[in-house]
Amino acid sequence: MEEMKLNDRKYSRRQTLKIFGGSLALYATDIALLSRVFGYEKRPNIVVILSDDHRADTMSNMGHPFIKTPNIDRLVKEGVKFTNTFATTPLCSPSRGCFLTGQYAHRHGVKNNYTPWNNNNVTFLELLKNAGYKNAFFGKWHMPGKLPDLIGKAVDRFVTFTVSGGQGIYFDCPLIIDGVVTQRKGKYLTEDLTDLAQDFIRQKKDGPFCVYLAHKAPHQPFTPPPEMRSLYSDADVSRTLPPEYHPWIQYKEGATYYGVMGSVGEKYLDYHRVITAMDQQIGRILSELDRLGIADNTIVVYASDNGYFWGEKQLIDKRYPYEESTRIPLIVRYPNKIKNPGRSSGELVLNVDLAPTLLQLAGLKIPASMQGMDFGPILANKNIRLRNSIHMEYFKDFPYNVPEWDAVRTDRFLYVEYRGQKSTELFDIQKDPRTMHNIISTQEGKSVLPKLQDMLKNHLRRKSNG
Amino acid sequence: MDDTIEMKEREPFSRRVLLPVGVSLIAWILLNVTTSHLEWFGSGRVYRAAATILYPMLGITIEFSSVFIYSVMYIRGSSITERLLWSYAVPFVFIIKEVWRVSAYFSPGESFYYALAPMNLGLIVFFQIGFLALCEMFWRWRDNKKGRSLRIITPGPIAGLAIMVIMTYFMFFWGSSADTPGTKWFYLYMEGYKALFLR
Repeated sequence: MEEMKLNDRKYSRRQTLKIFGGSLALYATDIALLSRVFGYEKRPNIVVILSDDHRADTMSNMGHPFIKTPNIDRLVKEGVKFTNTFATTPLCSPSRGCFLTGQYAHRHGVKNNYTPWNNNNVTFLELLKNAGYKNAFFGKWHMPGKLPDLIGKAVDRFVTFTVSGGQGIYFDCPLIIDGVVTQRKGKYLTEDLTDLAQDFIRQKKDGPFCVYLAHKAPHQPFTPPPEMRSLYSDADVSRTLPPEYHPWIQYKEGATYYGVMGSVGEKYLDYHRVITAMDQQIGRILSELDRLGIADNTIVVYASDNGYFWGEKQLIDKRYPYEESTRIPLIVRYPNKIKNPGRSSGELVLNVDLAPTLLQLAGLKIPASMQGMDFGPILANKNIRLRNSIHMEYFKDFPYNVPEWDAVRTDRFLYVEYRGQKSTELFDIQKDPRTMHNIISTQEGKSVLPKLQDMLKNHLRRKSNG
Repeated sequence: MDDTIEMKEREPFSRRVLLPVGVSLIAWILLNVTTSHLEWFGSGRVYRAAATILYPMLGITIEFSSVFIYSVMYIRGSSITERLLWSYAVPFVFIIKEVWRVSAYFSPGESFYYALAPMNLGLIVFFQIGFLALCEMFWRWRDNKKGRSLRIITPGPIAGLAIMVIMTYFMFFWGSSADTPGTKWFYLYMEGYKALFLR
């Protein structure tokens, strides 16, 4: 009976319009509210390109005298370049773990190239996937232990390699594509991985997707593609090699393990060639995003796991706490959200900051277990101070002749404590950017030492708590 | 035909052993010190020239002092056992020095395991076996030319050469040609390390 009454009810035209208008307003409010509350706003796509051993100054946008990196430069022009970014542990496997988990090596557990990856570690890829992202991992996993099964848990496509101890090889590198070993005869690894990443982007263009593209380049043996084998042959390397460089640097005590065999001068040029070859492939990814019309809503990140010594302090490889090894490139492009693109930021940023930042930009909560900080406000051009000092750490990695160390770095000073017999070091980075002069025994050094020791002590206290 | 050279006249210990071994060790020490302090040569061209001269000399001293010692000792009438033992003087001291040096970073066990790394075991130990085998054959050939009657190709030197060739392949060339040479052996060596020290 009640139903009949309702059906029989009559409305005037004015009443009908009022109800219709009111409903429309309510509906619009609901959509906006739902978008905010439930994240229905179109979430950004994410492309993270991680290279291997690319030091921060070896890009044309850093004023390098001969290398050409036009596509990385394009990212700089259209995004934000972070000029004070550091690897918390300047070594491949630990640093890769840091990028993925937002945690220091002492927490995620991959402390060197043989402590295994813990399958209970939560990566930002997993959190994005749980939030509906379609993810893919392409390239160098290189975390010790059994290759994890990321499919379904963190990614929808997992392409990696295990040859050469997980380092991969530049040519004909067999790929493990979703668990199946696939021969890749005649392929150059950097290009091959880019092809696969492009395919995935095309398939998932409606988004949201996250592509994690981890290149082997420019890691040793620095093999360029055939068309680039004579690039930079007439380069004036005297402007980029340090005064203490000499052509036998790779034969210094213990340095032979770093795998730089043959002519180090030629290897040095090959390093630049391999970077330029990788830059070309980055250009292909950017073009594909443009072609698909999704560049504005896609965050593109370019970073490297650590830097590299080319003779500075007569060192080769990385691992030591000095700038050439710890400082990494970090560039973020996100046209929809970045204010005043083309900026540089000198804030102290770490590899562990990437995961929380990406989660925040994707509208997700940052887990308390992550130790990195969200640098998103810098992208939005907000004047903030992220931190006053950073902690970096290195663990024993037999047979490499580098002692364990912990370091604290501020805008001005670098203070390092080593295990074993190597003496403690303190450098004034502003006055001595190449960290050539240990000032620990000087008046200046003695005046700042207690504060830096306190800072390191606090970092170490947190480290001992896990 | 003889297999040995015991009929050669033996010179005193100081001339047949101490002199070649001492000269080699002093050369190695001097080169080791100077290459560790290249800053003494300033910077720029002189510094790089010094590195270009001293590093190869250091490498030659470590790698080939055994050939020098073995040859002098052969000529001066040392026995085969004496020659083989003393020829390893520089490589042995070099490896001991390396073990001592890395003990600043590693435990005693790890430091000794470091001595078995391909660069030490391969370049220093196995290469020497082959070099000494070649040396022995060369000096026998020379003696024969002077009218003595010695067998040149004998099982010992042939085995020495075979060991050098086989170990050189496995330690420095085994694996993909696209990769850094020697990585396969190196990863085996690291598996040994994990089994011994990371359990």
